[in-house]
Amino acid sequence: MRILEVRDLRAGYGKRIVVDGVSIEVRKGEFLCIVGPNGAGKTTVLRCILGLLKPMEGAVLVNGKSVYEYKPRELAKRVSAVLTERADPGMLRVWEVVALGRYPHTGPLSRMSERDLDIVEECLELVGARHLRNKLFSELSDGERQKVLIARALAQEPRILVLDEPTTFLDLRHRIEIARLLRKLAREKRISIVATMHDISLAMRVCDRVVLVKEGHVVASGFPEDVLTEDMVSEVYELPRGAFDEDTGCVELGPEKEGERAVFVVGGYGTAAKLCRFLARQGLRVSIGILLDLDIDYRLCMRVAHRVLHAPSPEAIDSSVIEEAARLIESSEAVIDSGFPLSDVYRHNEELLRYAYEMEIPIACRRRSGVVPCHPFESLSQLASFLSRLLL
Amino acid sequence: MQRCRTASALAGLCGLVVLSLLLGISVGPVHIPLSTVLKVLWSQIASALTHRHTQCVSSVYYEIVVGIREPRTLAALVGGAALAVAGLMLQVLFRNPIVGPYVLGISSSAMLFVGIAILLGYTFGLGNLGPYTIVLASFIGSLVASLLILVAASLVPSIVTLLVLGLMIGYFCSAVTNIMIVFAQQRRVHEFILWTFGSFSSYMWSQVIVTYAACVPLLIASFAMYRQLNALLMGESYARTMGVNTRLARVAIVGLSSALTAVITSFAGPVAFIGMAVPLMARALLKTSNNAVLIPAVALLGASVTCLCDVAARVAFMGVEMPISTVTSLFGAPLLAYMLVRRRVRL
Repeated sequence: MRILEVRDLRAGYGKRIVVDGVSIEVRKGEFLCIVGPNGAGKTTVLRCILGLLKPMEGAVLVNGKSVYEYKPRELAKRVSAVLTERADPGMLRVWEVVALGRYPHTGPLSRMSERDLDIVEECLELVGARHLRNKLFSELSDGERQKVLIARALAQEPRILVLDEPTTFLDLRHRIEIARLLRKLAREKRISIVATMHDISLAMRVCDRVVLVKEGHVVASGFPEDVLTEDMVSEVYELPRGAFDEDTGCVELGPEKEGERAVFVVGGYGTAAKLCRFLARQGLRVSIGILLDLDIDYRLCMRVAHRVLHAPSPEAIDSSVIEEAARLIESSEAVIDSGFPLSDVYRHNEELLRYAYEMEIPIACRRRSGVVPCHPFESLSQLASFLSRLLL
Repeated sequence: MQRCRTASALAGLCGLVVLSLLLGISVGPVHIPLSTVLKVLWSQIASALTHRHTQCVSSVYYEIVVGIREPRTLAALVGGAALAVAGLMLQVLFRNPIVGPYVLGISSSAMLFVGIAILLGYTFGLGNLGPYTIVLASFIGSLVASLLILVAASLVPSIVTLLVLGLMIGYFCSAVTNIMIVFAQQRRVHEFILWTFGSFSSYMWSQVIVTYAACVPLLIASFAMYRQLNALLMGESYARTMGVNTRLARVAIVGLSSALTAVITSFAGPVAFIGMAVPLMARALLKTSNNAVLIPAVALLGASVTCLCDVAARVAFMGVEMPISTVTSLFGAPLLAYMLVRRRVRL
């Protein structure tokens, strides 16, 4: 059943239209993320849902009734919010901040009842902030503040919780804690959650459905697995190709401008991924080969290295790939052996190292005894000093 | 612990108010012993209860206590409470701890109209230029500014716009007043300048009664706003999402604080610093921003501080009566500077 419906929303400030033709539906207990670049109109949509901004056209319906037909208190009993604006309530204690959330449920002159106070404690417990209850709100860390603000929003006993960038500015632990908390609220308390998010990798893990917006329009909506694809994200955020990995949600910076000095990495079995990133960051033009397609090194180096030589299987390595590898090795200033486990599968890479030795290309290797005579290294700093001596 | 601290602080403030009241009646150019003060007060209470007039102290003391000191002290008490609560509410509304009741231009507008009376000699329909003319002029001035700002409060979208608008009303009125000063006679300018520093010395019993009749209900109504004020501590957007009708709350807060300020300014003239400094002192003292506690605390503290400043104005300068604002500024400015430097100034 649809609890929140945004229909053909057009909204903005003054004459400037920020959001046009946005439609969103949220069911009970569903977690919806709104994702998009800065200035795409995410916050504007939230402000309309909260009744803070009047739409120019279209409607925002909560339980089938327009938010502007609700009295402020009645709306506050159904929808509550955690906003990005920095709340500084002076010298209020944590429990007093949470108790503010009881406003719509208490009469104009009545004091907080036992039940109100119980709910305040419950909400503090739910977000795991009970130990903070007597602290001053202003003395909390950003992560603790966010939990308390969520507790305050929950004290309104809403059916819909609206959050504007709830995880921005938080450290890794708090980001995960907040994400898990929001999931729990949606699953167990059946609260519908609408949140804007900048952290795509977190959004694709935490929300049930995602709405991707760009320049005030909805570009796509649906399951995060369907919407947050490499093509779609690259297009919406105008990323260089290959920067975003839809399977992991990670972003690589990609090769910087073409490095002049080239190195060739011989790797496999996941031993070369971090090495490639390290070398690329040194401003080198990194090539790697010859990797099998099912090797994790292939998936990870693809977004980092200048050139990745690969083949579907050892048998499928043909002369053209080997010739290219040879050319790349010849034009490299050094060859780096990542220390991949020696086995039949990567026999061809051992051949590449022997070829480099014959061509008298300096070789650094991350193993005790090399396939060919080489400069051994254990740490990246040893490799760095080897390279700087070589490339001086 | 917090609750205990709050209760004891409020009790202490009540004691301070009683002490200020006794000092306010006792201290002055003519010193009246505390025992005599108590006797007079007792006889007044007794006669009020029994409807029988008994006089047990010398008539000179009685005349000073009942005719001069009592109205003045009672006026200073309620005046301080009113200005401090008005300042507190505006500080919360504008989310700015260094705002006072006069930021919305009320004092400047009152000054303008009093200037018209004193400097130009216009009597606003009254026969001759007397104390009532000045009260009337000041009242009209406060009312004009209050109504202007009230209309603005219900129309402008942003709270900052409202603050700037108030400041602009202030600048405009000051400019017109300054033009009048340039052209006015020196004697009148002196009289006018003295008025702008405020004083509780000219209060008569009738004025005290009017002031209390207006201020007590306004103060109670202000206290009734504490939940909205607390919600507004989080900012207007948050208050809206909590179900506060922010436009209505804004109009109510501006209306109440303007009315409180206008009543006091009409009779006493502008009184500096009380409305800004007392809320800050109360917050530093009680270590809370919860307005349920803060409003009564600020009222009590404002009352006693103003009353004590009024006592100092009478005696501190060797028999020459000083305007109240000189004393409040003399103590208020260094105190506020100290609190700012020590980062004690919070909302």
